[in-house]
Amino acid sequence: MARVLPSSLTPHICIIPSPDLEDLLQSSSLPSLPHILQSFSPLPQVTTRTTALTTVPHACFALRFSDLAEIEAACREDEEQRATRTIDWIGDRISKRCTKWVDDFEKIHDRDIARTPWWDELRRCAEGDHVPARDEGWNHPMSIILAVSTTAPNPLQAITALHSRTLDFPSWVDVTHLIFTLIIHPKDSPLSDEEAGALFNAVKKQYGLHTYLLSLELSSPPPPPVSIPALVPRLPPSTILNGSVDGARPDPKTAQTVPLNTLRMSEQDISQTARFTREFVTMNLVPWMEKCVIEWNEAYSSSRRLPSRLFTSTRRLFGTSSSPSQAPAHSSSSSTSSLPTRSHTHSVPQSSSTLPPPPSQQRRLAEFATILGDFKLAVSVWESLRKEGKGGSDILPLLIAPSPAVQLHVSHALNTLHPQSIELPSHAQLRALLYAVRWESTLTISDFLSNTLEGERWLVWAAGNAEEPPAALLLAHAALLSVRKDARRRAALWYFFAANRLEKCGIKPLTMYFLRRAHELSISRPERPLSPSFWISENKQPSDFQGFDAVMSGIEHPLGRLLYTTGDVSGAIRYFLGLLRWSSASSSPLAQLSNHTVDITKDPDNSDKVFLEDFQVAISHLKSIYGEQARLEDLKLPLRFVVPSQTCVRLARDSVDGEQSEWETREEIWSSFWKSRGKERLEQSGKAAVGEAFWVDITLRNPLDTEVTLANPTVIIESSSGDAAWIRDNVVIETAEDTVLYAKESRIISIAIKSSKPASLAITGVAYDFLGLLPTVEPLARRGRRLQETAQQRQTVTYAPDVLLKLDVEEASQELAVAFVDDGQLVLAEGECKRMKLWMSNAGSRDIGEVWVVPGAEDQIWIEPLDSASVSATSMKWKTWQSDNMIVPPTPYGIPLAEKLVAAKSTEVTVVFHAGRKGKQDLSLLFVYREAQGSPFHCTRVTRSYEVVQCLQISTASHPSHSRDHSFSLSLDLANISSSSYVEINQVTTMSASWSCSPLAELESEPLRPSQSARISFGATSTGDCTSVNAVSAFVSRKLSNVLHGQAIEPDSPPPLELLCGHVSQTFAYEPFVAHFIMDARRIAVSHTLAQSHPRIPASSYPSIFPLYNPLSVDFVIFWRIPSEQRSGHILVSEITLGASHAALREVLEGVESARVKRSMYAETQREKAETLQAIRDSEWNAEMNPIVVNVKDGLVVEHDFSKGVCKAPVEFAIRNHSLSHPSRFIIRLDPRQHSSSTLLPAPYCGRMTFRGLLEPLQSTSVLAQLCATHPGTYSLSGWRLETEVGEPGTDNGSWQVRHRYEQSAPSDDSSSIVISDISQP
Amino acid sequence: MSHHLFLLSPSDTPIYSLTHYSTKLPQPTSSSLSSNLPTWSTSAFAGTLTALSGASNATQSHHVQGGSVRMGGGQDRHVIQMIANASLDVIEDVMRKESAMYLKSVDKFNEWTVSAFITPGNMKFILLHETKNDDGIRSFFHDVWELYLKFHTAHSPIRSIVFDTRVRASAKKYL
Repeated sequence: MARVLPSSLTPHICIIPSPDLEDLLQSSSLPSLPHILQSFSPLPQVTTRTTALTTVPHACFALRFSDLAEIEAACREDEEQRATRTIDWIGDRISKRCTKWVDDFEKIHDRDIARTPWWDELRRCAEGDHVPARDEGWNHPMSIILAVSTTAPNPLQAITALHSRTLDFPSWVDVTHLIFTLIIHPKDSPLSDEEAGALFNAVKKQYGLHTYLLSLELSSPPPPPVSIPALVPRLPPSTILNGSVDGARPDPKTAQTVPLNTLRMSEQDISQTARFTREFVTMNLVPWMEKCVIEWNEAYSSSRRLPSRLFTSTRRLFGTSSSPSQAPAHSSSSSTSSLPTRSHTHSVPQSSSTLPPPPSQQRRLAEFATILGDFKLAVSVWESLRKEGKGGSDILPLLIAPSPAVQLHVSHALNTLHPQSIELPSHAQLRALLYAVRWESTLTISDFLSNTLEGERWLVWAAGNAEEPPAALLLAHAALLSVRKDARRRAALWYFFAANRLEKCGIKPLTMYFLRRAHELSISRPERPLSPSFWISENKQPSDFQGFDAVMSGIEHPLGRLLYTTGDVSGAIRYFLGLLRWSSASSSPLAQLSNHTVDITKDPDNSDKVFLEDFQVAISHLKSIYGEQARLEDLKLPLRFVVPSQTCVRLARDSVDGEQSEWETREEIWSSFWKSRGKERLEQSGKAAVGEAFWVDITLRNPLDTEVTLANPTVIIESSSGDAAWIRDNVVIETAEDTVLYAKESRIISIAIKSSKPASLAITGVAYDFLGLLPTVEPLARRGRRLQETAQQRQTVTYAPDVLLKLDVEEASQELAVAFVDDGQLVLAEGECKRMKLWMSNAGSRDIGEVWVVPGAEDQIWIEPLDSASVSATSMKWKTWQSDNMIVPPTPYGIPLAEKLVAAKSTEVTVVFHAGRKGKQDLSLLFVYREAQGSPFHCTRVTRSYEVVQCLQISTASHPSHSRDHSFSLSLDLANISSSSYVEINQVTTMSASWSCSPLAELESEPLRPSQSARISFGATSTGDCTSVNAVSAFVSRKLSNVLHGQAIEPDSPPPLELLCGHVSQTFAYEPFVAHFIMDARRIAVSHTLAQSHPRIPASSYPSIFPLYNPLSVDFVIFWRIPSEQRSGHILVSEITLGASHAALREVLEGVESARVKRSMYAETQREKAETLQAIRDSEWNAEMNPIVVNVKDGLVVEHDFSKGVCKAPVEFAIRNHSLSHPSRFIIRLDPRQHSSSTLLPAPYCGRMTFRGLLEPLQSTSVLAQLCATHPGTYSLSGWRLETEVGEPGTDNGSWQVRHRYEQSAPSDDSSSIVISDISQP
Repeated sequence: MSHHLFLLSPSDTPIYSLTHYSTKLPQPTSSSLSSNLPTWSTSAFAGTLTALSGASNATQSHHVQGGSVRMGGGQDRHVIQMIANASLDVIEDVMRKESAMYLKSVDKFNEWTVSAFITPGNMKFILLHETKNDDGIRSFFHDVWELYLKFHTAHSPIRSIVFDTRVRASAKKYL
C-alpha cells in the first residue's frame, strides 16, 4: 500500500469547457466542471504498476481539477507578486476567522491534543496552490480535458475548436500532458442518444481513444443538494488579470448560489460522473503516466549506465564547465502518440534558448513515479537529482524511512530556499511553508515528533525570520507539537515568537491566544525530582521557586497591552500590576544580581517606568469609563512599600530627653528590685493618653526603579473596644499629604492619631492610593518568631502569631507630674552635694499613695526624709563602721509622702544629689507610683542635665614608714585647680579594715587659694588583727576558683567587715546622707574597676564574687567647702592598698593550669578563658611582693679623734616585715663594694657582716653593724644585700615551708650615708 | 559578539548571570544552519500604551518612550532569558541519556547556540553564544565550575564580587 501523498503532490488536470457546456451547467444550477469533478477526488482503490511491473494499490488516489484559463492567467502573473498576494490572502483569511476559532478553541478541554483550526486552514491554503511553479513540476498540468456538451449547435465543431486552441503557457510550463475529450450529453439535449454515440465515435476516430461520452440526466428542477467534501481554498485571481480573462471565467455568482460544499446532482448523475472519473484515471491517466515513466526511466537509466557515468565523473574531475548533454531533450521525447504535436497545441516561442526551460524530464520522472507509488524508482531519481543540486531534498523526507539523514534533507531543502539575505522573498516563504505542510501532513505524527526527526524544529526552520502570518502559524504549530513532546519551555518560547510575529500582522485574537498559551506554559513548571532535603537545606519551600524573571514579564507585558488595545482594560490592569512583581524588588534573583553589575542586556522597555506608566494609563482609562464604579477591589499590588520592622509608635511623652536604653535600664532596676517584693507590674510607660496625639512613624521604601506617588497615606486601626464605626467616632486619624518616593528611596512619614476614649488600639496596616489611583492597604504585621518548643514545631516550620503594632490609650486617671522646681543651668563641683527640690503633682483623677524614684546605676541620690530636722547634721564620729561588704546593686528609693496625693494636689520632695565624675551628663529619674498596695505601678520620667567641673586635684602616695611608730606613711596632696574659688578643707576621714591611720599634723585652717596645694600626711599602723583579711581573701579565692573552673556562682555574700575610721578634725559635723554617699561612691568605684579588669565576668555576678572593700585598702574622704559659692561636698579617694600580700590565688591558679585541659573547639572560647585567667592573675587579690623592708639610719654624723685610732661607729639596720599574715626569714649581708654612689666612700665594716633573723608578721627588728673608719669621710651605707624567705604561716609542726624567696639590695639611688669627721684637726 | 552565561540551581533558579562581550573575531566557519536562522527583534511591542491604543487622553503627559534605543537583534533581556529557559528542555533530555558534563551546542535558537555544563551536584551552567568555540567554552565552564565550588550555594544568588571578577576574567580569556 502506497503512502498517501499530500494533495499538492497529486496529478493536476486542467479543463477547457466549451461555452455551451458552461451554459448547460449554469442552467442546471451546477458549479463549473472542475468543481464538480473535484468532488469525486480522491478515488478509492486505484492500482498502479511500477517499472518492475509490480502492482501498487492506492487506498485513495487524489486528483486536482482546475480551469485551464485560470491556470494560464495565473502563470502569467509574476511569481513573487503572486506569492506576496498568497501570503496576504492567507493572512486575511486567518484574520477574518480567528476570533471565532479562538473562542471555540478556548472551550475545548485538551487543547494540546486537538488540531488547531488555524493550522488546518494554513495547510489547506498552502496545499490549495495549483499554479505551476518554475522549479517543480507538481502543479504543471498532467492532463487537459477538453469538455463540450451536446447542446452546442455543432458539437463536433466545438470539439475541433477546443482542440485547435493554443495553450497560452509560458515556456517553463511542461507541456507533457494527456489531451482528453469529454462530451457531456444531457438528457434534454437536441441530439438523441444515437446521434451522441455517432458524435462520440467520430471524435474518437479523429482525436484518439482518450474520449468519453458522459450522459447526464440534469433534471430541470434541480434535485436536493448532496453534500460533498469541502473544496480546497484557492487564491482568487488577481484583479488586474481578472479583467482580461473575464470572459473565460465562470461567473463567480454561480458558485455562490450553490450552498457551501453541496452539489445538486441526482443519484444517477453522480454515479455516471464517478464512473467517468474512475475510467479517466484507470483507463487513461494512469496508463499514460506509466508509459511516460517507463520511457523516461529508459532514458534515465541509460544515462546512468557505466560509460555515461564515467564520462560524467571524468568531467567532474577535470572541471569542464560546459553543461553536459543531459537525457534526450524533454520536449522532443514527450511528443508521444498521446500528443499530436507540441507545436500544435503550444505556441513555441522562437528564441527558446533565452527562455527558462520546463522542469527536466528526470524531475518529471521522479514526480510521476512518486505519484504512481513507485517509491523505489522515485527515491533513486530524487537522490540523483539532489546530488546534482536540482531539488529533491524536499520530497525525500516523505519517501524514506525516518533516520537522521531525513533531518539533513530537510535542512538542505530549506537552506537552498533561504538565500543568505535577511529579508526572505515571499515565494521562498511560501515554498518553505508548502514543504513544511507536506512534511507535517505526510509523516505520521509519531515519526514526525520522534527524537530522530524532531519535526517540530523543521517548522521553525521553515518559518525562518519571516514576519508573516504563515511563519507565525508555523511557529505556533511547532509550539503545539513541542507541548505534545512535553518540551513546554521551548513551546512557550515558540508561542511567544509566534505571537510576536502575528502581532505585527495585526491578528490580535490569535496573538493573545498564543501569548496566553506561552504564559500558561511558563507558569507550569516541570516536576523536579529533587530530594526534600534539598529545600530544607536552605530553608526554602519548593513553592519559593523563582525562574527567569524577564520571561514572565516579556510575555505579560505585550499580553497586557494587547488586552488594553482590545478593550479588556481590567484584564490589562491585572497584567500590568503583576509585572511590577518582577521589578527590581528583591523577589527576582536576577534583578538582584544586576544591581551590582551593569547588566547591559537589561531592556530599557522592561524597566519599571514603562510598566508603571502602562498601568497608570490603563487604570486612568478604566476610571474615566466607569468612574467610581470601577471595580478595583480585587486588584492587589504585588509590591510592598512599608517596612513593618522599622515602623513604630511615637508618644508625645517619649520626646523627653534621654536615651531609650537609659530608661530601659531603670525599668530593669525597678523590676529586679520589685520582683522580690510583690507581683504588681509596672504598666508600660508607652501608653498614650486620651485626647493626646501620638504618631505612627512609617518607614516607606521604594523598590522600583522609578518615581512613585503614594497619595493620602494613612493608617488602619483596629480596636478591641469597638468596631469600625466606634473607631470612626472616637479616633481621629490624620491623613498625610501625598508622598513622592524617588527611585529606591527610603523615607519616614508620621501619621498622627488621637483617641477620645481609652482603648487598646492595634495598628494593622497602612492605606494609601498607589499613584493616586489604586487604593491599597499594606499590613503592618510582622511574622512571629519561629517556634521551637515541641518536636512537631521543630520538624515543620511554625511561627508564632503575627506581631502587630499595639498601643493602649488610657484615661489619664493616674498621672504624676514631676518637675524640678529650679530648672536652670546646673553646674556642680566634683563631689558636691546638691539639694534639689522636685515638685510632684497628681495630674490624674485618682489618688497616688506610693512613689518611688529609680536613678541610674551611677547616679548618687538621697531622698531627704520628711522630718529632715530630726536628722540634721551630726558631729557624731564613728570609730568603726560595720559594713556588710557587699556590692549592693542600685535600688530605687521610696519617696516619703505625708499623706496620699489626691487629685490635683502637689507636694515637694528634696533630693540630695552627689555629683560624681566630671563632664556633661543627664540626671534621669524614673518615678514609679501607684494608688495603693496591690494596684499596678505607673511611671513617669524626669530628666535634668548638669555639668560637673573639677575644683580639687587629689593624689595620694604611700610608702613604708621610716619611723618605728608606723608601718606606712601616707600623704594626701590636694591642689585647688579652680580659677577663683577658695576651697576650705574641713575634714579628712580615713577608712580601712586593717589599718588605723592617724594624721601627722592638724588641718590647715586657711582655705586653699586657686592653684595652691596642700599636703596632709598620715601614719598607718596595722590593727594586728588579720582574721578579716584572711576571711575575705578565702572568700575571694573560693569564688574566683569557681569562676575559673566554670562552676556556678552561688549568690552568697562576702564576710562582713568592720571599718576603722579616722577623723582629722574632731569638730566636723557630718550631714546625714554622707554615709550613704560614701558607700555608694565606693560601690561605683569598685564596679568601674571590676568592669575594666574583669570584662569577661558578667557584671551581675560581681556582688557574689568580689567584696566591696579590700581589707588592706585605705579610703580617704575629703570634705570641702567653698563658702563664697555655698557649695560643699566630699570626694572619696579609694586607691591605696597597704601591706604585703603573697599571691593568695597561687594555689587556685596552679590548680586550674595543671587541670586536664579541656580544649574547646572554638578558638574564641579558648581565648576568652585565657583572658579571664590573666585578668585574675593580675588582680589585686593575687598581688605578691617582698614583705621585708630595710631601713638604714641615715645622716648620722660621728665626730672622732683619729689621733686616738680608728673610728668605730655602730650602723643600725631596721628590718620590718610588712606582711600581715606571713612570717619571713632574712639574711642581710653587708658588702661595702656594692655601694652605688661614686662620690661616697665604701663603708668599711668590721666584725659581723652577715645577720640572720626571723620576723613574724608585722614584726620589726634591727641589726647593728660596726663601721671601722680609718680616716674621716662620708661613707655610703647602701652596701648591703638582703635575702628573704617568706614562710607559710601556721604550719602545725613548726616546720618551715618557703612560699617565696626574694633578694634585694639597696636601690641604686640610695644615698644614705654616715659622716665621720675628724676632731683631732684643729 | 556577546555571550550570556546563566548558573542555574538544581531547581532551575538562576543564581548568577553574566553578559560578556567578546572582542575576539568570530570564526568564519559557523554552522550554516545557525547563520541562516533569523534574527529576532521585538520592535512591535514597544511604544507607550497610549500610542498603541490610539486613545487620546489629553491629560497624559507621558513622554514617548517607544523610540528607545534597540540593543540589536536578539539582545533583548527577556528573549535571552526565554532562550536559556527553553534550552532546559533539551538539556534535561540529554542529561537523561548522557553522563557527560559538558554538553556542547546542545540546542540552537535563532542565532544563538546553547552550550551547557552539568556539575555532579546537578547545577546547570548555560552559555548562549553565537559562534563555535568548543574548546574555549569547555575551559571556561571548567573555570566557572572551579570557582563555583568555592561557593556551594544552591539557592541564594551569588553576589560575591570576587566570583564575578574571576568569572569575567575567565570569560575574557576563553571566550
